[in-house]
Amino acid sequence: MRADVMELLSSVDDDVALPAPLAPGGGSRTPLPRSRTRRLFALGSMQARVAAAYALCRVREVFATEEEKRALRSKTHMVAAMRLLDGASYLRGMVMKVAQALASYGELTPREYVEVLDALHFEAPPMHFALLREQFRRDLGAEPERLFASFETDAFAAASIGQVHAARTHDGHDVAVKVQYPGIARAIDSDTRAWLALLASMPFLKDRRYEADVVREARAGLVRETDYRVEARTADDVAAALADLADVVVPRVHPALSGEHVLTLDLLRGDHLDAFLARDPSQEQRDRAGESLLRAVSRLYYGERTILGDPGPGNFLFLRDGRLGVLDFGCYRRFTDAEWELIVAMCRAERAGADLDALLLRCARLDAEPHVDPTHLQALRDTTAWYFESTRHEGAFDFGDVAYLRRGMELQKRIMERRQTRQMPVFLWQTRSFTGTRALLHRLRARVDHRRIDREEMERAGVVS
Amino acid sequence: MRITAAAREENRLRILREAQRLFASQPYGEVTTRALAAASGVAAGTLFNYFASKEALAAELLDAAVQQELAGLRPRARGDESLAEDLFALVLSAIRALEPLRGAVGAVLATALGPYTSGGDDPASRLRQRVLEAVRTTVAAHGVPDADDPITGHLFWTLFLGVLAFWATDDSPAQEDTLVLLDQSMRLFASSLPADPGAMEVRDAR
Repeated sequence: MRADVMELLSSVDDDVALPAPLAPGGGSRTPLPRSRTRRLFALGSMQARVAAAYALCRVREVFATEEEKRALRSKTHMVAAMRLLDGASYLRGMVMKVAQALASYGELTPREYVEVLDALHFEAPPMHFALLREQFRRDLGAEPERLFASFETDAFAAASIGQVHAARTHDGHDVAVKVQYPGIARAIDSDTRAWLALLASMPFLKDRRYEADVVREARAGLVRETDYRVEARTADDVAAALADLADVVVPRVHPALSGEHVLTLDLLRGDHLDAFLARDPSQEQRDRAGESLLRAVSRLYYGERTILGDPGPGNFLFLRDGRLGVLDFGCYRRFTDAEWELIVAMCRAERAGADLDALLLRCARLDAEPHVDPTHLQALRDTTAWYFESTRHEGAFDFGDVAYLRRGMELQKRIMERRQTRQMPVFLWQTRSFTGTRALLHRLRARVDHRRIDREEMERAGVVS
Repeated sequence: MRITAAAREENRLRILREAQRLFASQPYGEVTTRALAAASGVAAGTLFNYFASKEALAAELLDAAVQQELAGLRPRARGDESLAEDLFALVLSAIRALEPLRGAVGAVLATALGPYTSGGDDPASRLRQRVLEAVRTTVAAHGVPDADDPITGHLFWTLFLGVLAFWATDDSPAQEDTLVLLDQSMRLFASSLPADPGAMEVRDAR
């Protein structure tokens, strides 16, 4: 998704006032647009405003010194990020998810973007308690005051499509209760339709058909995320899959206190990434956290054929006892049999040191093309090599290595500049998962033997013998 | 034959009871005054001695339902509510009370209830006064000056009718769109008041 969004962003730019509703701690005051036409307009205008900022920047650069160019670009990134944030608050649902995805890429995204968009991990338009209570009535047939022994009326975190409250059950368990905004599922559906309509109106966009497939894939995933009953089942599945990983904690679902718009999970106590890093953890602690993360992601990937699609920092908790808590179960994607067959073929070919080109072309949906741009094929090889770099490395791999991350950033940048983003839709999630995991590991400055973990999990799942 | 005041009141209540039952069980448009009179055991013409029209009868029911619901409301019950939240709760209570009469609301809005309803002793005017009194109490409880300002009342009443009209025909799942519209309307209203004490600032202690 990042490539798609960046492509949209980079195709558009101006020097306008920053959006008003960005006061610290405040949500957007702009009403939630529901009609398709109005949403379409909002999405279109957001894209146009962001694009306008970059166009003006390019014009100004012609007359600027190098120093001025750098300052100008930095300002432009900030303006664009602010606009995207404003739009994200306005369109909520899908665009917020996209903005969150951007924020999770850490140094892969211009610094200013990350600073502004990072706020989205824990800031969403708030719901007051009277509205939340009504959501409970409709979903579970009773008010939170009756369902729980105690319930905090103030949210302690924002989920992208709702908010999270602390509570205690009648049998004494501390829980985190996610409550969804009313109408969000239909809002996301409306947003994604608008996105598709925008794509349809952009005939100049290379690979438009493939872009549309990716948006459809994103749409299916996002709509799935709005049903907390699905998320509860996923949480159970993830808990079962990771049950024997002593360093990973998956909160238990409380089914009697969960429904379509309300999800109650055990409350985990620990630090989010920034707070964890602020404690200046030892290298050993960083490595342990990194190993837990890679072990959990790999176990799900090979053992459950499931991609953890949103490894953003907001979705993990670093517990004081050194374990890693997994917090979010909305963004998971299971491979189809056909997709998995391709993944297995890729793993086996990589293990055997065989040529990967034919498989890469299938992944990029270029296998039926009579002529493939050699630079495109090379980009696929380079990107894959970048991903495999940590699993090819003997011993602990230093994910904190800036040069490694920078190479990945350069690759991504080149791919976007050349618009070589065509891919099978499932790779929307895989790219996000792989890149997001590496960004998180980089921020942790973790050193992990990825090769060992990868091989153990592949063998355990029978992917390779 | 002369009828005593007690017997007249008994008839009126019986008509209201039967109307409540019929409006809840049949589409409003299919309930005729003849059927209402028959169910209440009065002659067709006699019904009009009690209620000027079917809509007036429905408005009486709406007023009674809302009266009962609003009586139990206390603004700032928890102590940390925003004005928008309390107003949201107020209107939501009224809507919940009107749920059995949802089918009648649209018709009453089109006739007896309207932005210009005021002053008289008819049920629609009583409903307006009752709702606006509850709003004044709520607004005053939040320390907003000029809670009696007629513009404030008129603005609220207009929004209230708009939300009711939307709700009466809302076909979204569990009428969730009404919740969103109501939430936004109350935020808009609260933000329009002078010295709004954080009406837009939904508490969010993250």
